[in-house]
Order: sequence, then structure tokens, then C-alpha cells
Amino acid sequence: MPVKSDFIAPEFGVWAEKSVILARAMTKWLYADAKANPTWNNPALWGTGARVKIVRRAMDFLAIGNGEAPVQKLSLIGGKNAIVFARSATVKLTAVPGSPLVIPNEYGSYVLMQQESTAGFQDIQQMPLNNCCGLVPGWPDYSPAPEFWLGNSDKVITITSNWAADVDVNLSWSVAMLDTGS
Amino acid sequence: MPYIDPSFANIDDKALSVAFTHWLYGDANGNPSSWDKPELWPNGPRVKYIKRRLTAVIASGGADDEQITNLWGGKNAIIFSRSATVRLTAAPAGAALRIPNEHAEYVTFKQLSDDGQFNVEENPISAIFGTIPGQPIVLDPPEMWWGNATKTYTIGNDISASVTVHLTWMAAVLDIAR
Repeated sequence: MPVKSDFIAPEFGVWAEKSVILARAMTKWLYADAKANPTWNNPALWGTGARVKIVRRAMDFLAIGNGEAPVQKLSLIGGKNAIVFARSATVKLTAVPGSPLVIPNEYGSYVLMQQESTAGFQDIQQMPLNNCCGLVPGWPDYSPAPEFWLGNSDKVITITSNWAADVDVNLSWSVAMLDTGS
Repeated sequence: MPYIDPSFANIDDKALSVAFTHWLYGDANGNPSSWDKPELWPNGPRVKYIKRRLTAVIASGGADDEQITNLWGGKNAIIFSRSATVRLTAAPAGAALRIPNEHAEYVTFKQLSDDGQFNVEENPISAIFGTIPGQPIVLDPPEMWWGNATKTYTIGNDISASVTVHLTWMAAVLDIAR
């Protein structure tokens, strides 16, 4: 029996101005998750307990040589439901260059990313990082609506470098999760 | 009020939100178990935003690359934005760095439907996909894409060197967990 609740987490109040449906759905996505919230089936308590916290999650691929394609598994919030707001990437030479310095991501088009669920569905087909994580690291890639991330879904992320020198790639996600203080 | 998927609920035009929801949930190919049972839609599938790409490696100036493809595997989709990266196929030597898409105005794009209609007449890629890859062209309103529509894409290269072109579409599809 699905949990019914009209409660909207205050952190999602700005979304409620645009859409109450979306703000409620986002709230339920986090608060009704039994893995994240001990009061998941008691919405009357939601307003007094846990709160939403926006965190940054990172994944680093270091010293990738030309033609190499390392793979890592991503579980964003350790099995708990989450909501992804944005993602960005930084690509830099592993060996810090001497002067002149360059702006971030001049190499972004030579490094490819692919994101696949463990079931094999490709969320992101292989493409340059700047197409799926944005070109300017402080100016991330946004989805039309925040992305509801199932806690138990591990993603397989592959980064491929086509640049002659070794590069470091730092991926970053801005994520809403439930903070129960424990 | 007809059901609206939460991922479409932040669209100001509610009639459009309803239409988007029906476009995906009412598609028998995309939602085989409940496409004709709207009362089950809130409990079942969910909308997922994905990125699809098309890659063309074009060897020399003046050459064209033509590809016929069905981007979404026969299921209805809704396209929200598109972006492109154009780069030299042979990575330039260390000192000659390039930000993406400095060559984009010399590479053209054309999209044709099966019946010969031009969806996109031949244009520089930067005019169709935007210049900065991380800042895509956002479609207003988003485009409802027939699952069975196959398109022919032609990418032309007017630069003397070989270029690699990565086209990307961001689309909403229905995730039925299988």
C-alpha cells in the first residue's frame, strides 16, 4: 500500500512554487524510502524528524592514459534514494603544466563518458564529457526536472581518454538526500 | 485532473504536461503492461531523462557522413535539448589547445524524415546544437518524438582536416525497469 502524504519538505518549497506535484513527489521519494528513513511509513512524523540535505558527491578517475577506459561503479548515496540536481566534470592534465595555465576543460572534448545501469540500460551513451557534464565546471549540466535516483541502482561509469598525456577526471554530482542525524 | 508524471509537473502549461505524460505512458511499445490503464500509471513506470548520441568521423574537407537511425529504439520519447562537440580527430599537439567547437561553423548538419521532409535544413552545427557543448539548445516546447520515426542525418565537413562530431540529445523516456 503506497504511503500517502501531502507533506512537502521545506527544502523543496521553492519547487512547490512551480509545481506542488513535483515537490510532493520529491519529498516522498526521500521520506518514504525505508532504507533512509525509520519513519518512512508514518508521514505524520515527517515534519518533525529528518530533513533534506543537499550534498556533493564525487568520483575521480586519475592518470588515465591515451586510449585507456577505466570503469567504476557508482552508488550515489549508499543504497538510499536520492535526487540528482546537476552534474559537472573537470578534466585536467595529471602533471600540472608550467606556465601558461589553461582554463579547465580545454581537453573535455577528448575525454568520453558512458553511464550504464547494471541491467545494461545506457543512461548516457558514450559521448564527450562536455556534452553530458557541461563544459564549464562551475556551470553544470541540469536535467529538465531533478532526477529521481533509485537507491539500489548501481551505475557503471566508463571514462575514456583520447588525449596523448595522462589526464585526471573529477566528476561531481549535486544531490538531495535525507539526513536523519545518524 | 488527468495524471501528470512528477518529472513533467514543473512545466507551466499543464495541458502540455498531460500531453507529455500521455505521449510516454500511452505508448504500447514503451509501456506494454499499462498503456491502456491510466489508473495504474501513478504506481508503475517513471520518467527518466537520458542522453543519446550520434558520432560521425569525417575524413576530409568537403566530405559528408550520412547515417539513418532510430534514436529511441521504437519507443516514444520527448526531446528537451541537443548539443554537439566538434573536434579535430587527431588530437592537436600539447601546446595547440582548443576549446570545443571552434570549428563548428565549418561543419553542417541536415535532418530528413523518411518521407523526405526537412526537419532541419542544412545549417552550421552551432546554429542547430549551440556553440558551447555544455549549454545546449533547449527546445521550447520540448519535441514529442514518434517511436517509429527513423531520421536521416547528414553531417558535412568543410575543414581540410578530419573532424569527429558528437551529437547529443537529451530525452525523456519511460523507465519500466526492464
